[in-house]
Amino acid sequence: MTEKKKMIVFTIKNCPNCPAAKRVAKEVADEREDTELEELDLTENMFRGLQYQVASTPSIIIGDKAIFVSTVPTKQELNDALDAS
Amino acid sequence: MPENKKNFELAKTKNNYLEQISNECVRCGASIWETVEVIDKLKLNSNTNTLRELRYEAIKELGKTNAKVAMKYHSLFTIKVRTNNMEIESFDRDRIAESLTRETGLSTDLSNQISSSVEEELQKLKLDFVSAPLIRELVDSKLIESGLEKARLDYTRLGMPVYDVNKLIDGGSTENANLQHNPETIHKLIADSVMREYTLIKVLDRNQADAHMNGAIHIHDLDYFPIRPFCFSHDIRFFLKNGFKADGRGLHTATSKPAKHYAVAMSHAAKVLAAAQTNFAGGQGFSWFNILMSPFLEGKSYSDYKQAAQIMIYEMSQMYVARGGQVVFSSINIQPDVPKTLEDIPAVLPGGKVTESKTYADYADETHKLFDAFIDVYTEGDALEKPFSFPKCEVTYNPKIANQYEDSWMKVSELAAKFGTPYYFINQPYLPEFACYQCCAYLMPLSDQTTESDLHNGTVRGGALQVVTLNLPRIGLESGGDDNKLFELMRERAELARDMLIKKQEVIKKRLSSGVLPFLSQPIDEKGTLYYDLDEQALEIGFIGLNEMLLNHMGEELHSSKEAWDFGLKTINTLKEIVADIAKETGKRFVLSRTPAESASYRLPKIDIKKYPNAHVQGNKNTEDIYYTNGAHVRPSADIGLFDRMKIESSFHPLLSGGTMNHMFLGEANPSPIAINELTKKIAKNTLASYFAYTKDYTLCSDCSKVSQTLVDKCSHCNSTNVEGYSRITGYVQKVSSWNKGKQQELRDRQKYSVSSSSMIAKAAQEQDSSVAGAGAEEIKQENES
Ligand SMILES: [Zn+2]
Repeated sequence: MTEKKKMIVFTIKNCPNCPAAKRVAKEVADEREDTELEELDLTENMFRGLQYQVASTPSIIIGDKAIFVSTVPTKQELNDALDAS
Repeated sequence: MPENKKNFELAKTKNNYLEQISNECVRCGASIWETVEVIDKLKLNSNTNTLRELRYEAIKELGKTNAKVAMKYHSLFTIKVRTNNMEIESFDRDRIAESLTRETGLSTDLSNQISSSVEEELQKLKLDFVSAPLIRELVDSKLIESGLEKARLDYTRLGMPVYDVNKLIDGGSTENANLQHNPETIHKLIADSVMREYTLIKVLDRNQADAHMNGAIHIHDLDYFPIRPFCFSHDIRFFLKNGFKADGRGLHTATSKPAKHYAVAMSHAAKVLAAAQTNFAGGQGFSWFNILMSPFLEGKSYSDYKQAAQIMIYEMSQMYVARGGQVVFSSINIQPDVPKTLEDIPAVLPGGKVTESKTYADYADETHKLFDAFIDVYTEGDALEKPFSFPKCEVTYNPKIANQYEDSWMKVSELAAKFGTPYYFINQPYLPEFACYQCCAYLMPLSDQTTESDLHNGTVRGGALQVVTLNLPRIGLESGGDDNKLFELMRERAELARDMLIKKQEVIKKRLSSGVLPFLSQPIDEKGTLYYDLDEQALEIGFIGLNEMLLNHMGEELHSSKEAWDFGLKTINTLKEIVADIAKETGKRFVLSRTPAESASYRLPKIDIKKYPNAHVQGNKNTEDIYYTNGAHVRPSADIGLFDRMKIESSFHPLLSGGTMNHMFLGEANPSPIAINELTKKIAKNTLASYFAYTKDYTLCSDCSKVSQTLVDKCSHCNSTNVEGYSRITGYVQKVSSWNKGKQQELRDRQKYSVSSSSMIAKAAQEQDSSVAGAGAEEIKQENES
């Protein structure tokens, strides 16, 4: 059995683009068998965010790398990034 | 005091003096009869009450009957003083008493007591001549004996031992790497020493001076504390519009009208920084420099662009005008693009004209070309093909649009690969709308420090007033491993730093209003707004040695575990919150920054190991070649990949609104520019770094004047061993032999990296897309120097 790919979405309250990023991440994770999604609030998990080189939202981590920083990817872009990881 | 009582007191004093004089007459060989006669005459006829004048009258009277005794009395009891005005006067106890009362506020009685005992002391010494300084030293020792310590601090002289002056004249100083040994430096260092002492005893409160002396806190540039603000970023438009007055008023020096030609504009720019340096302690720079200068190059050929860049670069690296015969500590911020902020701002044109129809967006091509010209001139080096250290070349890199200027960034990479000259300022999304880096890596949030109208009127300007550095390793030593204690101590130290910075603000406010800083107090508008807006200047609380603090507190280093990294972030974030609280409570612009700490990184561990022999320091404790790791850096010698180092250090950047910097020390003689270019992109896209530079060491031959790559013992051109190594000490490049022992040890310890692995260059070919990130960078090879 292969280990699942890890994806983290960092968001904060009142960030205009965060709901969209969360939705895309959730849809993609639901459609893929191989990906596990974690949603984190950046304010409450600031040090973890900083260690992933994230200081703005919305940002998406795949594996241990910040792939989309301060931006909302399309489903296609997110799927491509997961495939490449 | 009632009149009769006062008269009685005077008579009593006069009687005491007369008694003293009668003893003195006898000691000089006068007979009892002669003495009694003299005293009686003085009692009856003299209107004077001072000892000095009574003595003179006694000598006159004695002279009538016994000339020989009178002469002896004259020479014995009127000691000659060489005064500070180079004149010779007779000793007069009353003048000591008067000056004591005037300078220290002591009562007349106390002053008289002290001056009498000083006189006794002098008489015992049987000197014909004494100097004014010697008298002052004797007074000081009497003041201490009498427990009058405060009066002593007010009365004391400031100066240097003869031995130290000799040493400075013969050998110079190694404390400041910027200083060459020359007559200007000698003067500067002697003046510095007096001002440092003055700051410690007269300007700072006792607890503040003690905190600096005992190494809990390091106050930077103590010698300039009472008279100069620290660093500043200028807006060249103000001078392009209004012309240039070197003294800020145009009375003491010639006044220029607004420049019409690019060559004049560039020379004005150079002189602005030089003039400002006479008022400031630290770095002077221009933000948006190539953009704001671009209208002067409209329609010109590329050789004119290069000529323009050459004027500025050569002026700033040759004008030997900063105090101590140094070049101005200068920087220019340049970028290939016109940022949104400036697009719609009407441009200042040659002759200082402004028309609404021409904005900086209209000069996008000129901006881009002038950027390239600057980079080309830096890359060519000087006539001996040496790199230029000043003005520091600060390039602003905007990751969102960098690919539109790929050719320009490749040029910058070539410059970095050749000389390590550029400092990269990355427009990270978390940064303020516009800001600039300058001096030794201080971040100026110009969009906070200035207003919308400054942006329009050409007065976007700002800087840091003063920097004080907290000794984090010391806090780690004192906390006994208790987190709460650690954070409590941190707050205590930060509050001490707060008071020092507020003190500085008060002091400079006085200087501004008394006109001591003429360049800064020049008005910028009809309302009389000052060029230097004191309240807007950043008050920098810095720190040093997070890595050694972690070692002292938890036995781990920043890079040794995830927990240590976590706790490091928690520490700096706590400090950030403390500084934010202080800013809120005081309503002042306090910021947290990593300080370059050239001398602090050596001074503080030296103090710490004396008090705590087990303190963790870098380097060799036995030889005192020791230092603390800068800011929140990973220890320079750590065996860790370059990208991992960058990730750890960069994770702190968003917490440090006052600025910070990462260093990448290159080990290769000829690193690949393509690899540097790729690495730059990766750092910009995949880390939080806001400011970094590649450091490229080199060696300059004193015999053939040629440059050899890296640090070598022998010139690679003529084999001479008469060579000087150069490297980046912290915020700028300087010859290694003038570094302090701690910094030299750090240089030996630095982990140097090789970036030109084939995988890096291969990646360059395939990678264009920002969504495929990170991989490859970790493969960067390490190169261990030792
Ligand atoms: Zn040579």
